[in-house]
Amino acid sequence: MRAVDAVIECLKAEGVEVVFGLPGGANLPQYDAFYDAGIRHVLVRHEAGGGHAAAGYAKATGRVGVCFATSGPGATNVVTPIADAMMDSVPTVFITGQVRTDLLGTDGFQETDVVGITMPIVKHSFMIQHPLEIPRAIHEAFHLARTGRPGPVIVDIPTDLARADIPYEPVTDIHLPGYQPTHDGNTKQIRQAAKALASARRPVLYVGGGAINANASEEVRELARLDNFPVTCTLMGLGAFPAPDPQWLGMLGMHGTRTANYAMDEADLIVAIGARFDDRITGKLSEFAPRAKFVHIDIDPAEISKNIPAHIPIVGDAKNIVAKLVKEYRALEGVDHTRLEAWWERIRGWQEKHPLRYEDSEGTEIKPQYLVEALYEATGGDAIVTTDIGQHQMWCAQYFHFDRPRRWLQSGGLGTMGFGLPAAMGAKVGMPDETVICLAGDGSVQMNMQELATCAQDGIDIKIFISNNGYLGMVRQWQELFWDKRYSQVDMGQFPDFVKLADAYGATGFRFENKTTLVDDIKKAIATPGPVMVDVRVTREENVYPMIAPGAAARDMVG
Amino acid sequence: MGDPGTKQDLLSLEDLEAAGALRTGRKHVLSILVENKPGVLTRIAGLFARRGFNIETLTVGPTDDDQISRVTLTVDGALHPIDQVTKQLHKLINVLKIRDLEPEGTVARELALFKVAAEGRLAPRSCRCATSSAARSWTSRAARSSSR
Repeated sequence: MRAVDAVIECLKAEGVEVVFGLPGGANLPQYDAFYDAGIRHVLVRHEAGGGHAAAGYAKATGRVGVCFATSGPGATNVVTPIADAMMDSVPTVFITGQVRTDLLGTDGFQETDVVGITMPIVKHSFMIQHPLEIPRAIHEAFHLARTGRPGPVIVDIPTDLARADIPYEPVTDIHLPGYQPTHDGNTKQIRQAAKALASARRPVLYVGGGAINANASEEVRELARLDNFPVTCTLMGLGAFPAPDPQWLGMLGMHGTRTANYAMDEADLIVAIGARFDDRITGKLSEFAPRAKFVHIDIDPAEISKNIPAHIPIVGDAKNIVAKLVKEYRALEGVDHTRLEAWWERIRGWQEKHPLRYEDSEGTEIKPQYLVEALYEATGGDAIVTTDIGQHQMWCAQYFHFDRPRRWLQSGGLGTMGFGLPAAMGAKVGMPDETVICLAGDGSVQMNMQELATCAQDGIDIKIFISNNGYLGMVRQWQELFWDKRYSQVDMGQFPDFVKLADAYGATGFRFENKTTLVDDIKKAIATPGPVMVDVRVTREENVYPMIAPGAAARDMVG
Repeated sequence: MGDPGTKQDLLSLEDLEAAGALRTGRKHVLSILVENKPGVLTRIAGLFARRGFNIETLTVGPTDDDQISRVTLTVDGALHPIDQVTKQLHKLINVLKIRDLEPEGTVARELALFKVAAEGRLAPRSCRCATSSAARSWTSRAARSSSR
């Protein structure tokens, strides 16, 4: 069969049910194979939208997201989604067309060295040099994307090789001698961690996105319940532990709660589960959690002791390790189960003194924080939520309480504006029975607005709420706080008219400006069939607090 | 899981020591076996560049197995945490094995080649000079004919 038909067979063998992509010259053979392939293809309007949709699909379902792009500009358009998937460890496979082999290296039309360009931002990549390599490369790509620390993998296929005739047999004997991720975790180290936990008087469980990737939420909850351990999550980890819970401290980090950050600051033992001590978490590294010893559980050995030296490193799959840790802890004798009472007293003190708060408006004006609370109330919290990057994202993390994993889909590491809309599209395709909401900023939503056409055409029923303050809000906040209120290039005015734009795209548009009816208005918007885009006019100049100023220590939070 | 929870079930957190991210303060010779595939050297070089690690020396050559090449490089352990360097290298799918060659168990030799422009009588004198320093010398054909 043609190599491109073999690609389709590979996708089917890998259980792929949908591909996001856009055809072009160099992947024409591939799109000929899609014509009657029996795999759903979502025709995006820009390859970046396709890449983020694949990531949204992967984050919501836990399956591998797949994106196709042509050579040259098609391939360079997926560079941002690839970098995004790398930073957040999202299982994705990108299959790009390439110019004919006889044109390679000649600056041929739409030729780009995409494997070279993406080398620093992929888990791995394959440049196909012979058609017989294609099936194995595709299967290896899926294997690499979904196992170990997940990530993006590219397969670049020159158009002449794609048309070649090859025999296809399913590849089941994946053998990558240089790739053997550790799953189990060292038993001695796990036992040591259990003893450390049993000895700690001020412990904190610090849970990141890795716990969600590993589907370890149940195990994390079980661990926390063993001895009433306090839990905080990173932005990526939200949902790994139920937010409305007595043991929940709130998110930590730059815009986390004071309680979570103070607890980290005073902790004597921090158990990191699938978290990587990012600078948005630690603030000033030398003053981060100065009293703590660290247990670090991660599937990627390179994350351990990268930023913070670990005292008890445990490499492996978080689900597996946390389950064993629970077992080991239960088997310990002589554990004082009342030892955390003083610690909880201290924590309750912070919670009472420093709850998350904002000054709500008196009249009809909508505060952006209230918009999030209204969304939470209108949905009962029962929705998959994506956001873009900026103030609205932080408010959503603070005021929308996620009680389950894979409901909060984020561009955490790369911080990609324009992620929210296509990610919501991908999530809805993967989870058609769920309510999928994109809370966007008026700045970021415009970066992948074109995918509203895809949603309208394919009937992908997402609800977009734009927290519209007419500013690049987070940049404006930093200019206010750190640049003497010199608002340089952040005022976006009231352009475009999002309601008209929704209409033009074949979606339904609303504009909400009244706080008193907002919850009901949101319910109405969500009940409206098909894609909906709502322009919510919010207070223009509002700041996200509390905040650890960049490079400052957690205990010096402001606001 | 052995016999959990028997003897000493508590420990002193104070006694726990952090491992890793240490600067060793000396040069490390890393001997890396890699799959002989296109782009592998670029992946290694790119990794060093973007993580801010300096390669001091680098050689690449074949092994007895034509599927496998050996990359030998030196890194300054005073500047970079060697465990981070090796862990990041291990993440490259084409990297098969890394050995950090311990100075005690390693025979290291460096080879330098000097080209001396010497005409007439200077040529044999240069050669004598070289051999007296335990170096080997060769005289090019052009130099031989000019000294005649």
